[in-house]
Amino acid sequence: MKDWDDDRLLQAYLDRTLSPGETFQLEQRFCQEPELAERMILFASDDAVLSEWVAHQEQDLGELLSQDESPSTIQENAPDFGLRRRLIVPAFLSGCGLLLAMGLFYIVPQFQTPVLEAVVFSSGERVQNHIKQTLAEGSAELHFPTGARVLISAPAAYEVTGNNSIHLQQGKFIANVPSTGIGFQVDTPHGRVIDLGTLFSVQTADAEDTRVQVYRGKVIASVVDDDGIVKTSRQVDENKSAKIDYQKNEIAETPDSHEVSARYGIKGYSSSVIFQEEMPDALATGKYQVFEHDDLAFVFPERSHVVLPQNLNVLVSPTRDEQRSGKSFHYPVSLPAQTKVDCFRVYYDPAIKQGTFIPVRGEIEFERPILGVILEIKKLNQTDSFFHPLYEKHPDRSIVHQGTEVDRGKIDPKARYDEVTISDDRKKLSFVLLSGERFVDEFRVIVQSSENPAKQ
Amino acid sequence: MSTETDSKSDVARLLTQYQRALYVYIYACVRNATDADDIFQEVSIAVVESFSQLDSEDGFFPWAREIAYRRVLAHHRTSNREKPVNPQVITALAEAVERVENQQSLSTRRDKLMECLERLPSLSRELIARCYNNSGESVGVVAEQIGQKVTSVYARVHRIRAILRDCIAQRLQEESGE
Repeated sequence: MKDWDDDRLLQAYLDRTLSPGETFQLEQRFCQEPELAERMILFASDDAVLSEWVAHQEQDLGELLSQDESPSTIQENAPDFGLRRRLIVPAFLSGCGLLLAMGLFYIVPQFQTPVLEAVVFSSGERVQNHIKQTLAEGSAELHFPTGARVLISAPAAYEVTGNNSIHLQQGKFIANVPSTGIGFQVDTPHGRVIDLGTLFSVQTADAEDTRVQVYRGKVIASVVDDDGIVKTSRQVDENKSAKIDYQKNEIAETPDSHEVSARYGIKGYSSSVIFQEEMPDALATGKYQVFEHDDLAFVFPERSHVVLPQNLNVLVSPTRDEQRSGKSFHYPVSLPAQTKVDCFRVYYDPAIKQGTFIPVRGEIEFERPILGVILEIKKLNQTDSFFHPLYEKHPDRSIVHQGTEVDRGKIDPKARYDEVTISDDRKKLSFVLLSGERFVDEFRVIVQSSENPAKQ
Repeated sequence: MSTETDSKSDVARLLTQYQRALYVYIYACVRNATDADDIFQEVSIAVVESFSQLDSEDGFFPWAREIAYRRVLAHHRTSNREKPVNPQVITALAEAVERVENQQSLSTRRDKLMECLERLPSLSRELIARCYNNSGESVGVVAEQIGQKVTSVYARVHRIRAILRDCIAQRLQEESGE
């Protein structure tokens, strides 16, 4: 074993930098030397606190770095400081009392945190607790004091029941719950969903059942009887979905995200990508809020089996051979009229504070060839009539796009811009999207359609 | 107040009291913050769900720690990247965390460390921030960024940690003397 003092050994053990032999020897000592094991606990405690402190201080320190007389290399890298946040931050980030709240909500729904602030709509208007709200059209976005955000789509009937809870009588919503909102509770006529720090959707189907889909993190789904007593529970994990069946008193698994995406011709996607079958109304019309999420890009199927009524110009990235022959930038290709295509929308909206740009890197693999991408705002607007899921029903609705900027290196080669690349076999899309709090990156992916419609 | 409500407030109070000790124990066993977060969540749920099985409040921490012990072992069994772990090590750490918690609450130690961190010079704070942020940067990367050798960065971080431990000890001593 290296000639280290025990302090260094313990820290190296925590850092996992000891060799297997050294690890074994130190673990043997833990069993034989109670004092060393106790020191290990103290080191672990301090390590956890340091991570917690850094998470709290990240923003302030970022500013500190930019003001400090540190070497220039540090300043150059300062914008990357702590960018790659994990979805689930350390449990102590906001105090484990939040988890405690989760536990209490789990067993006793009426035991809730004191009302410190009100639940408000995104407009700032206060939502009265325990008053039934109905939503006939469009969508409503609720902001909870705990940081949870809920995007409800019409038609829906709901009631805010506390600072971190809601009753969904009918309809569907997507909830984005940060670590500060862990324990967010959704009651429906069929059961209860308790969030454990996640992004998930809930849909009730009147008298039938409640569906839960988890995109990130996990939730606890429960069947609850008329007296509010939990009858059965089940954890629903990331990319999984479940049905709360009150009649059968069970939580049944339903097809997970990968199974559903496969029906649309998506073979796979990286962990930074979330597939969602239905594009929420607010996102479809360009009112972006709830889907704000650092490090996560979404892919939504728009319309499938679209027969192009006219030639359509799309962009493709140069193949490796083309790059070798000097072609560096995306170039347009024309898809002839009558081509049958499927359209997907990739979308990225980080939540970090203004002025900071967060990159997301992702890959999506399709079964069939990618024919091209549509990146520019103008082109996105022009192709809404072909591809936008809302367009047929509501051609007059205002739809806002923001687009994706690639190839701007022509203007400033040193600046960083979005990257969207199609593999040489045209089946894999890779992207690095760089966006900030006030910006969204979005683009369309046009894929060759299958002969047969997708099995829904 | 009903018995059920009493039970609610009991589990709330006890979990609050021992949450840090439980988390630290899990973290010491798995040495990975993400895994520790997940296991801690599972343990918290299990504690709340099965609280009614606990006979006496005095046995709360050993009981909750036993739940954590089982979850940690299960994690080691199912985790592909983990080598087989000796359960005696997990037991030794479980006993150690109980002794440490009985001597001095880990929550108090946390508070003292937070105070000590605020007193660090800005460059030391910066280095700690770089080494402990979530970006996954290795010490090697940090060393490269600040133009120093890896061994030098390790030594600096080691010194800062030692300073912090001394500061904690001093503050705890001051508190006990008051």
